[in-house]
Amino acid sequence: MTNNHHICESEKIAAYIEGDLELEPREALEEHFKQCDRCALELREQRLFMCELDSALASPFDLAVPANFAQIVAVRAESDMRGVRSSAENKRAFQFCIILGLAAFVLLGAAASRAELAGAATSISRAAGVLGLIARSIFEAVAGVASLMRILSQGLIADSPVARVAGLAFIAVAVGILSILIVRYHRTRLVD
Amino acid sequence: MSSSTSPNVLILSSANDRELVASAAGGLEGGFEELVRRYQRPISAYVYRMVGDYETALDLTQEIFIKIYGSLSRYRPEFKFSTWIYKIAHNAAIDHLRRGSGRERSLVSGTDGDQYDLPIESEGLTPEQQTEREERRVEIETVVRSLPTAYRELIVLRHSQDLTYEEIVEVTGLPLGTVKNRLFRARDLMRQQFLNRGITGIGF
Repeated sequence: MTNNHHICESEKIAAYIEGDLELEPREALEEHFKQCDRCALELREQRLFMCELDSALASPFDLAVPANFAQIVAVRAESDMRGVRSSAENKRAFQFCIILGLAAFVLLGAAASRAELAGAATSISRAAGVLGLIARSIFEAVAGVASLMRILSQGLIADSPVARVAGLAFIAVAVGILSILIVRYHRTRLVD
Repeated sequence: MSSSTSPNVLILSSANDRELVASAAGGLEGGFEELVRRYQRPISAYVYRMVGDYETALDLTQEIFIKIYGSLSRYRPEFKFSTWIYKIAHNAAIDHLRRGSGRERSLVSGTDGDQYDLPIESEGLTPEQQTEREERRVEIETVVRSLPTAYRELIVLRHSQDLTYEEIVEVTGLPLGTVKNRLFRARDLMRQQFLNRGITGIGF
């Protein structure tokens, strides 16, 4: 009981030191200090302790930061964070790339002779034929796998609601793990 | 902002924080470096007091400044810049402590790290006074390190970094009442610890 009373008074005295009390309670407390030695002592001790804390912790000090710390950090920050550049700057860089690409293409075209162009045309048409064949076989394979998956998934879904819920839970967990992994990856990149 | 001339160290060093932020966000060379130079000491000292290990404090300070650079475009000039970067530093330090221990803890159990003695200026004191002051400072530092994170962060922000209550509210995101109450509890706990350690002369 007396201990609680003491804590309560201590808190009020702390508020008094911080200038948090309204006029009326402040004056009442000042009056109380004149009569109560214990609270007057508590006031003195708290004030002294605050001063000690301020002078011990706020003393001017330096953690020995390496001399070129600011330079290293600035270079790392500026090279690390691509997202910081303004969109206008990114757009300008993209335009430069397109212009350079086009210029390279035009220069190459001008440099190539007609005969070389004819040779290039036949090899391009041959390459197109081969690419077309590859593309068609890939398409067929994907279509086959897709129809297989459809049959399998229809079987699963029709099977039972438990399997459906388990499937959904599996997907949710997978998405969760993926996002955690992405966050971790970015964090470790930052830390190094 | 008004100076669109070539980067000049003299101009940068006399620019205020807002001008520096604008120049760094606008890609002006040297702008961000000057900001780092300006805040590296208080931020590294704050982080050191939070994590209690020299190497970790430097790594974390670097990470904090990289985060600051990445968020410069989100900084709103109506807020004080120092408060804003303390907020980023505070979040990074708390994040680091949570990652490390998974619970609130004091730094006393983790003294295996690379401790660093923070030097202080001792202007115009006799050798005896210097020794006494140094001993007292070490005692206080030790007790601060023993505080739980929730108390230690507030003591450091208030008494070491000299932030106002309103700034601490901004930095920690805690309600004003909680900040005041925890600071009171923290100081009370510290005084108890001084008593338990049999140390007198610090507020007694």
